[in-house]
Amino acid sequence: MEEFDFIVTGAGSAGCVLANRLSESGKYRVLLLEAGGKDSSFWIHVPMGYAKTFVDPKVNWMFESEPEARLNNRTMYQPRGKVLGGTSSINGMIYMRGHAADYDQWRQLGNEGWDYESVLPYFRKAEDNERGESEFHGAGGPLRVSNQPYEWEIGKALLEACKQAGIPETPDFNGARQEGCGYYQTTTNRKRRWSTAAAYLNPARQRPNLKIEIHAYATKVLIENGSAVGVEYQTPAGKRTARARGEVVVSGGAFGSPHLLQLSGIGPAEHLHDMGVDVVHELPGVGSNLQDHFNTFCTYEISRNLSLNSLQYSFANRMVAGARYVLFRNGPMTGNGLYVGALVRTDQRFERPDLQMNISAWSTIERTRKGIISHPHPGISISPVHLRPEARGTVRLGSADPFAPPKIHFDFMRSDYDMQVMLYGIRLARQIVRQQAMQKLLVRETSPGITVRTDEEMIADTRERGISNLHPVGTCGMGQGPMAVVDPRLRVHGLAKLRVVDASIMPMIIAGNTNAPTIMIAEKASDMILKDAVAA
Amino acid sequence: MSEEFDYIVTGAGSAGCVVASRLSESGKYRVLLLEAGPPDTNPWIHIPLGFARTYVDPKVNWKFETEPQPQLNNRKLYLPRGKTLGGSSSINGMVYIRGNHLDYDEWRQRGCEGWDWDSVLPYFRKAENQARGEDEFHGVGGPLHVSDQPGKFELTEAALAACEQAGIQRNPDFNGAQQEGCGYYQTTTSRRRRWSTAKAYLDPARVRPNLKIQTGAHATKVVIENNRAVGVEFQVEDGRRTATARREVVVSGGAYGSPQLLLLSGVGPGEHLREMGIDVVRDAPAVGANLHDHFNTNLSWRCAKAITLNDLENSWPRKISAAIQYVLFRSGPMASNGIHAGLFTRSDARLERPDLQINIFEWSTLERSAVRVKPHPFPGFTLMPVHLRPEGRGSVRLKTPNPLAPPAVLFDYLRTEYDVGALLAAIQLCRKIAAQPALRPYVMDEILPGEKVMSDDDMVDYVRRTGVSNQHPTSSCSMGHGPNTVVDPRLRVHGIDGLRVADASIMPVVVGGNTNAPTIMIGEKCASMMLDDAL
Repeated sequence: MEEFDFIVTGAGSAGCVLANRLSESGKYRVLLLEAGGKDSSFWIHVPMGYAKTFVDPKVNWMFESEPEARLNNRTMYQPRGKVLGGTSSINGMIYMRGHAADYDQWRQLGNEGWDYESVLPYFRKAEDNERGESEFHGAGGPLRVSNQPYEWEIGKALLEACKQAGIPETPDFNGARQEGCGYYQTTTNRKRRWSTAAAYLNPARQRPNLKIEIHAYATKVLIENGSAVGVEYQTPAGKRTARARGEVVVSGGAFGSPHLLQLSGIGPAEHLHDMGVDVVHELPGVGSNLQDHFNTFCTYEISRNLSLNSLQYSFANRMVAGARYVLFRNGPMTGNGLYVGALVRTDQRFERPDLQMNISAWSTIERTRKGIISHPHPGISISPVHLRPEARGTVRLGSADPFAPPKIHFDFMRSDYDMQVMLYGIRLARQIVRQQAMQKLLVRETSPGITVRTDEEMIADTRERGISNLHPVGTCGMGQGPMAVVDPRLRVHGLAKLRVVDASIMPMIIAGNTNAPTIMIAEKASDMILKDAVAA
Repeated sequence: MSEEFDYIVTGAGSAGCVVASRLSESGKYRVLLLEAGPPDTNPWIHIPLGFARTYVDPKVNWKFETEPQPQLNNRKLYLPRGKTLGGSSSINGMVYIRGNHLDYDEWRQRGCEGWDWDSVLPYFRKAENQARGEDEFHGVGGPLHVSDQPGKFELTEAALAACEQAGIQRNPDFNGAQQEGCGYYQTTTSRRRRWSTAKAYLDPARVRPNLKIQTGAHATKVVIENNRAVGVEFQVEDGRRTATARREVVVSGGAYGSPQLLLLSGVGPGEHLREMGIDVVRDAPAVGANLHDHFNTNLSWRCAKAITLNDLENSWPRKISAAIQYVLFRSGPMASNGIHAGLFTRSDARLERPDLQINIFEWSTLERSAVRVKPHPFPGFTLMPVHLRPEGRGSVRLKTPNPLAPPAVLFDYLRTEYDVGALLAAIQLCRKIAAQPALRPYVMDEILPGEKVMSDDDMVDYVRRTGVSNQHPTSSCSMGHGPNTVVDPRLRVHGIDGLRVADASIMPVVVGGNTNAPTIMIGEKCASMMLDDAL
């Protein structure tokens, strides 16, 4: 049986960072396990390939939630990257850190070392921002952060409309002030996706002390005498076990990490009993506290062919775009359609934004496991995203079979406030498109449609069409006491040599896309793991 | 045949008396209030300074004890809790403090709709009969008398002047626009007598034919059928009884008692219940988790003048004269709670709200334990720094399936660097205050911790050796959404119909101040929600 100093399960947004940093000095042997394969699919690297990998089972876990009671019992499709880079290989690539006060709140919840001042150095360490170094940004780090590659006429018009609607412009969502509207930066490098596999694994691959094992599905963390000693995993050639002299780091994401802990007998004892899993360590918080952003879509037909919709409905357009991308690295395929956004507060008394408006040169009828279906005409969409939803859901085992998907339950639209935010968002979207800058372009609202006017109608529509924003977090929440899963050094409470490092440790969801914070978490965790290894 | 009621409230404490009184007010509903302890007839309950007696009297006090606390040299801490009508409001220090406005806004931010400051203020005002009269923050005409201290006190005046000299602003009202600063506390007293919730809420309600108050009735189980609470089983002197609830059961046993009763009723962490041999009615892992409390240490000085309460305890003639003064004129030292004043401040200027409370006591104690409260045999005074935002989270569990046995209480005090750092900052501040010119005529030597304890390490050691619970336990049935919480924002236990919890155990996080007034507010708000839901 092979022995390592550190074993990391999951090569996602966090796992790739860990594998790189822990193997950097050459002093430690590191094993990185990934259930998926190599990130060699062409569509991973082309920004516009998002629509393809969204439903490709070769690189995607394609989870599905349980029926949501307040969403007319619809299930929520959950694409999650199953490939080197994890979801950073299939996400929308928006580089957004959240609000500074989000991290201060983590600190207020009892998490020393996670206030904004303490986490900022790790955001900067990870970063190589095209705009160069500043108080808020780093240069020279592995993660390329780029401006939009291509100025779209429609993007410009929409940004202007936001300003006309009274939203101030912010030059940098990740700078001194998050609030306002502006262009998103993305995790791309020379118009190619810059996943954590590209950023952190590629430079580390040839290190002799790093072993990256693909198609290796972690089925169990082995615990002996209250200490993690190894990982059991399934490969195409059969079951394997690897031993860890130092630590095991679980990095499977907000669904995968609690799933693996529960399979390993670490979780709510009652539930484990029910599933027939032997309880190794009772930890009731594992899998609870699931949080996610929630969004709906307001879509509009526009009068000119300025959107990405035509890539889907017109073969000719697709060919032209493909040729432009391959030959010149320009044209619509360099983007993911998401250019402009706004962060606003739905109530002026709030101290920080609670609503994100994702504004896209792409309008879709549906986004499910069947695929992303665009409108058959030029269109844009404005998607109000509730950043501080109040529901707390769960991730539980569906069965003791490690290959069965976890049972996911969100509990969206829990409170009156959850609904008020969506109402505000839909009204704001309508206000934006009615501005002068959009006057000549706007044809009609395709959804929810102008017949949906009253609060009741809008809520009914949101219950029918609203979906997960695919930012699940919180299921191995960090904090103190019996309901927390990890402590502020990300060590699993009550067990030695076992940490969780990914979005699941967030005690409270941050207000923004979750990829950049997850990379920060892994940078900070690597630092703590290496320091503790020296101390030990 | 068990007796039938509309509502059954278990526990006649700071919240239970409020809930029972409000639910029975209209006369429409039959209400049963169960209290394990006796009526509040002990005279020491009603004399403000009497709390030094009831602090250790098993007749009116549960006298709980924690498990050994690992971060406190494995000491077991004494936990007095009122076991009489009025609950701990009958034996507490009577300080009327609501906490910071932002504390409630934080509850709201954690998903508790209707619990932000703007939403809870009306319930504070509804409860209140403020001696200073009505204003934006205070109410009059409510059941709870809130009074100023009976006079000015020489030593307290000097201490407050010293606070100002140390840079802390005077605050005329900790429960007004701003919490921060130093000043006199108001107390829950009326005409120099303790004003417990039994006095405030039960006395006027006793005559109602639709309210039955049963003392000596120790609730042993909430009876749950088909996920609905239908009654309560309780122990009286001559055996076990059951009462049936047509509408709802309200558990109001406090931060130790409420989770204990839920666990006994099969609502709690399944594994733990199984170990205790209790049938699992609902696996609710958060029951009993999330327990926390303010934590404090003490600094005491020998006083140059014999004007402290120590001198009362140490001298028979003074005791007799104090008793005569109190009985005849309701004045003198026995008319006050001995905690005249205090201050709220921040251990770090970057914090947005105070995280330290420093109580100013005109006494100093040689011993303060489950056995007795014994002052120093010489004049002395105490500054008690309280950490209001501790980060450790403990638990309440069953020790045995015997419902009459005390629960296993484990805190996690001094968990983080900040927990320790905040108290170190507070100790420095106390010493700074004692060193100001205004206190110079009174301060002799520092008795506790003593001038030998100067380095950070020595001070931390002192705190670990002597720090104690501030007796403000909360959050063991905390409110919120999802499985990490016990009750929803309408205080209904998740997954069980007809069952609520109303007391300090539902606080998602402890407020930055004494917990009696907020618990009364919780009782008011709970009753109001229940009456709304009944329609």
